[in-house]
Amino acid sequence: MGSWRISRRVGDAIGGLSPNAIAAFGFAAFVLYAYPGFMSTDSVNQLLEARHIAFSDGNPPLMSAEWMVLDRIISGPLLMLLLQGALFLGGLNALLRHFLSPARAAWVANAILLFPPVLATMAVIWKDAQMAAYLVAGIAAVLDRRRRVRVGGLVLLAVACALRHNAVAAVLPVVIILFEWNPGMRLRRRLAIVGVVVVLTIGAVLAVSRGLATTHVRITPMWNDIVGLIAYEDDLTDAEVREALPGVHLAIDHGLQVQARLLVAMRHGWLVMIGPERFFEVPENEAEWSAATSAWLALIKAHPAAYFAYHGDVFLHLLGADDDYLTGPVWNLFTESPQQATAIAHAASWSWLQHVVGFDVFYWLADHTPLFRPWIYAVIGLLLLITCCRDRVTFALLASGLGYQLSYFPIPVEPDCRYSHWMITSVVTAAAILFVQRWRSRS
Amino acid sequence: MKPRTILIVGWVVFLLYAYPGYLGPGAADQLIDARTGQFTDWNPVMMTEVWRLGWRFIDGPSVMLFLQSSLLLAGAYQLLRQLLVERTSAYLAVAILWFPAVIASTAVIAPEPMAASLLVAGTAALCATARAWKVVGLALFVAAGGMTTAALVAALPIVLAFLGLGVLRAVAAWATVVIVSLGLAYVLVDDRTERPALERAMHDIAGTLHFAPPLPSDQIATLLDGCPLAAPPSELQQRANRAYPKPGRYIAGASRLFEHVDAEHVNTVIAARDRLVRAQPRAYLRHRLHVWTSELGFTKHWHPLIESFVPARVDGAQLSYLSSHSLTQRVLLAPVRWLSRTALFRPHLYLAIAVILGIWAVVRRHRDAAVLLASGLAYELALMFTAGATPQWFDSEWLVVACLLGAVMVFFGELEPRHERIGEQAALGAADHDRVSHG
Repeated sequence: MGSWRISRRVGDAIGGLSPNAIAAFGFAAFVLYAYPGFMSTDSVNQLLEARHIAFSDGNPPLMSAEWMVLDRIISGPLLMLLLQGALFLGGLNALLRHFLSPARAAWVANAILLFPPVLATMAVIWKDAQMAAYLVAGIAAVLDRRRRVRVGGLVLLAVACALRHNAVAAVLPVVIILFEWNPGMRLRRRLAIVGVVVVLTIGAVLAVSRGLATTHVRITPMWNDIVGLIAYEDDLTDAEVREALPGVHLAIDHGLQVQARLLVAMRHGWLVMIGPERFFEVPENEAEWSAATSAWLALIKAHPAAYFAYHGDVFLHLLGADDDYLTGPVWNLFTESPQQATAIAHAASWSWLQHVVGFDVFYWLADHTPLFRPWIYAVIGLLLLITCCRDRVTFALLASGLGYQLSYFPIPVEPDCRYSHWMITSVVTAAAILFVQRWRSRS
Repeated sequence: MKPRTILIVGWVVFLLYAYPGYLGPGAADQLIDARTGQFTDWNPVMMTEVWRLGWRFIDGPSVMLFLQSSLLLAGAYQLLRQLLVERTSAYLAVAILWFPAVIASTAVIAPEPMAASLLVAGTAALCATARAWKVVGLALFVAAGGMTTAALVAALPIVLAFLGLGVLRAVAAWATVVIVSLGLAYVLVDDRTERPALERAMHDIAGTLHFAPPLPSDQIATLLDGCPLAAPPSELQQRANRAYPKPGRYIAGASRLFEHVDAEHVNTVIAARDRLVRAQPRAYLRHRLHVWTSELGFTKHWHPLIESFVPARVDGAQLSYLSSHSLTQRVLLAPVRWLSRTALFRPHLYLAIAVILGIWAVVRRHRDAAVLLASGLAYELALMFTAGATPQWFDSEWLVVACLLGAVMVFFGELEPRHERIGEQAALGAADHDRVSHG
């Protein structure tokens, strides 16, 4: 009887919480899991760039610039974590309020943020997490009734665009489907305005990124493509490989196809150019670069089956649709090495809660359940898109998530789980909205 | 602005200055103890226990920083709210937290700043009318006593004045606080080394020998019998004169007093100190007075500001705690650094103010202010016998905070009768006006 009363009291207290209190509760839980922000080598490089005000375009320079400002207020990753968490949760709240009461919207937003595959990436200071945060906030803003907020939403989406090379694939469906200069505008006029907006946005993003970056880094799928094509082609002699790569400076003399197959199996794209197993030497002049580019394009043209087989394999692994292990489903390191900690003068350790949730719960979920396998969300997203989707918000979300995921097909990236984060987030959010709509229509 | 907004903004600005917290001298050891759950008696175990509870949710010193700053801010606000309107109380509580001499101490993760915060919060809780809050207040005093025993002395006037149960019951409640606090401090230790007691004993021996008249070597030999001495008794007093008051020189260097002191010598050294103190009480008192004057800032070598997040002797990367100052922090730190070289960071200034204000408060019957000032003075006096060998600015934080709170209370207490008089006269004037107009 007593315990029933207590549980009823607790239930009443929880039920009586204001939307802001519920959101604060969710945000506190997020911060407790992630505090003061997990980082990888990418994050550390960006922080160093931010501190030295020397941005490269190897990572998004806009994010480094943002970090430069925040690092001058509080040193380290904390403010970046708070920013991405607040944008994400605030955006989700605003988005879900179009479909739910404020209190319920706050609970559902908390559930989405704290959903392990979403939380695991949102806790890390990565461009992927920042992009998701700006996307969610941007989507919520472009749905607002006030035009200035909608235009602000475009700015947020433009920032999201600047955070990954392929973010355009996530942003375009959102802008095309959701953005309206004036509600009720005719389709042709609306599309014309959207076209102008898209061109201006992409132009602005490129200009800002180029303006900020003082060091240019050539990022190209070329090297991994060449290695992948050689690996996936029928057996080739060293002479045939050399013949296919005229003017390309190779780092090894013999066993070229074996080496290519080894590198593909190792699944670390950067090993193709760096380390003792590398396949190529870095080109020293433009002539070598153009020779490599020509060889790459010729290889693709000559071996389209190998190209699609290689990319299909990489993409399946990115989706976690093979039997292989997932790459980095849960990232909960503060830095990757003590040297990095010393370099950025930032070191932290796990609290008991972080240890239990991160290592015991999330790692177990990743190893023993399919919860972190992106293909599940791709399938759910496709099914929802085909069978349930009847409104433009969920359609935009699903198109954005699935389109973004598809944009990885031509890029032979390392199959990190974080690359699927936006698809997982958008599918989970769309599923929550669709579930609410169905439940309401039935009740 | 609403009072809550004022407090939150004030707290955030404090965090901009202090985040993620400056490790005090023993805090690195405490952080390791908190993580491993194996508590040594090198530092106050009550603080390590609080840290371990905080570590369940957030690792590192920031959780302690959040706790001690929020306790101080909330406690000061609640205390002032009993005398002033909410918004003024909020502004004044923030002003106290931002006061350079307070912000510099509250930013340091050490037992004394935590004790000051617990004392403020405990006093506020004890002033509440609900019994549950009074119990919370006593519990906070237990925790404060676990941080430093001087806090137990500081708690006495507050419990006597604010518990509201009569003198005898208040004394009994205070005695319970003392017993529970000391008991917990004993029980919570896993690895008992007596290191702090040993360090104090060696400091007392060196100090007493330093201030004592020349003693015959056979008397010194008798008094220090069993101690692992580094020199014959005849040389010991000369060595004490050279080494005192630098604790590092008692066991190392050419003028060291002791050879390696291991676990079996601890009780011997402590017993020798007790014999020496009984034999030379005046010298011992002069030594303790010297310690106290050092605590009060009457010393040339006074570096009150801790500016490094991790002590120099600690490898931050190995401790998994490293941080650097942001531009904002450097800007906020600059004026505090400058002020730290002024009298504002000398505890004797606050001692003098507390004495003057205390007398004023007693004469003018500002009871709450008088109690707080008495508590601050009692705490500072207790440091004469509880302070260690290395005086720190933040040791005196409770005196500073009590002084500021007392000053605010006295100031507004003096203003109140004038306001009342103005109010009465205005009412009389309005009544006259009505009479004239109706007549």
